[in-house]
Amino acid sequence: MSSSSSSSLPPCPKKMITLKSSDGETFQIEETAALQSKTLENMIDENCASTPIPLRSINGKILAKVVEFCNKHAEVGVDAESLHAWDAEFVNVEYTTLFDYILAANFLEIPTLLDLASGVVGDMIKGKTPDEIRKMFNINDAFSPEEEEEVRRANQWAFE
Amino acid sequence: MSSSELPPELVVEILKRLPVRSLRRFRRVSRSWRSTIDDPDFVALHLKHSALDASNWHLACLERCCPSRTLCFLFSDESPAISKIEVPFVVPTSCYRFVGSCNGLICITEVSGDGFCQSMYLWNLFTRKHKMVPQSRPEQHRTSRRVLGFGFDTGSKDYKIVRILQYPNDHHRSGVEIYSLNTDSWRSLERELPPLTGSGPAVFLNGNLHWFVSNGNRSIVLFNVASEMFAEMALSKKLLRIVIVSKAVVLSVLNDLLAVCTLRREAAAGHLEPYSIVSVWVMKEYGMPESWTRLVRYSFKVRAEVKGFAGFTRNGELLMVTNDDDDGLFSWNPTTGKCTNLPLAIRPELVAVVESLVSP
Repeated sequence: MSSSSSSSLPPCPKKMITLKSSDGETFQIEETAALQSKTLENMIDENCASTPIPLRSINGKILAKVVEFCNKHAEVGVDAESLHAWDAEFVNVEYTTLFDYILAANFLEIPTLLDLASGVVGDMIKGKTPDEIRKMFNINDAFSPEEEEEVRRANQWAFE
Repeated sequence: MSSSELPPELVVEILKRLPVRSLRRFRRVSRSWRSTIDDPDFVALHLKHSALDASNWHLACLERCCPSRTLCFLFSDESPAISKIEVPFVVPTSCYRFVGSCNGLICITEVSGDGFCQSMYLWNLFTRKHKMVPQSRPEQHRTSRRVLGFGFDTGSKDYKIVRILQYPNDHHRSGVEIYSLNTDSWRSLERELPPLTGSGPAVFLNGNLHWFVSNGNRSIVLFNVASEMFAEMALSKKLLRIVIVSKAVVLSVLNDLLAVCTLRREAAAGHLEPYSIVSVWVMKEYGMPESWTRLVRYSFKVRAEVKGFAGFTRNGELLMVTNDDDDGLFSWNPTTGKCTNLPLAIRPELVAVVESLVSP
């Protein structure tokens, strides 16, 4: 992460926050970028952000991506079109990684990331069969064949 | 790679973005998914999300009086494809028209017959569920005119149909009846009303149904679906001056604002045919008559004569009916001036409908 500034004003030291992942990796993030997370904002407001903030539910691999996302979305002067293209590339990953983004975005309360990742998963699954969904979402409370037939009859047209 | 499991509230985050067709299929995934999809709170959340996205808004029209069946055509701003859905409850010999559309539910009434026992239905054409509205007490309908409206009371979370019976020989007499979906029954109200125009679907906006008074469209009558009270709303002087000389005046909704479209015919030098002059007005601040503002005024010089309006699409195009038999219906973009022919053979009546799971 570069801390150089192209501004002609004397560089004002950027306030940095340190985040610590579940597997012990630490990440530096500028406070302005971190404020996209309501969870971090609350910690910063309460001055709890001086020590590395431990994020026990997010591993280093995912936290690195989340920091990258927050930095990109805090950049000034990025036009909507190129940000859109950047976002599309960012979520061009396995659905398991998208689930991790959703979990992290929910924990950190980053609505833009939650919207983005949930929307992509939605597009991925909307044409899938119930069987494929059960595999993806690791669902075990499936119906008995009789129950399934009943639900199937009740909304036949959705399978046409 | 270990797959992370999402807790139910995050599954909801994903499901609220899905089309109804997928959700109906996903009721088969598991018990918990089925109860999530059927949960009224989820239905409301899905609707809220669905309504924000223009691609979930469709226009529906009924192909009326077909000898063997009635079809509902569904099309959207975003795609040229038109789906045809057979209306499941119709009697082949009858005609039907829209009473209104609200939160994905469409209210349809039979219009043929002698005025007695005209059946009404509530229909969600995305879930394919429908319900016949019970008959209200028979009254002396023969000399009366029905004005209908369909709306939602957000307070009691109730869908209501209002039926106003007006008597041509007695302008002060109106019989008002309300149907509530929650109680599945009709009740009468004592109200005094001026005569209303009620040929097309009543406009539902901000909790109120809207009609022009039939005496020259000089003002708008509101019915508040929650309080069940009527009120009269004046037009601005400027708009009134246009309205009283117009050939057709239609109430509509444009970008969540109450809108009035007016049509005038004006002789033009050097042209054999008079121009059709179309104006679009919106009430910028709801309830403030002085906030009526003209957005656009346009003269159609080459097209066939514009005869009337069928409302706006979600992206702000005005649907116009012309006297051309082959190309009867146009969608006109007031910003670009571009006209698109809609491939619907019969002069249709249209309602905008949003995709939802709401059950009748």
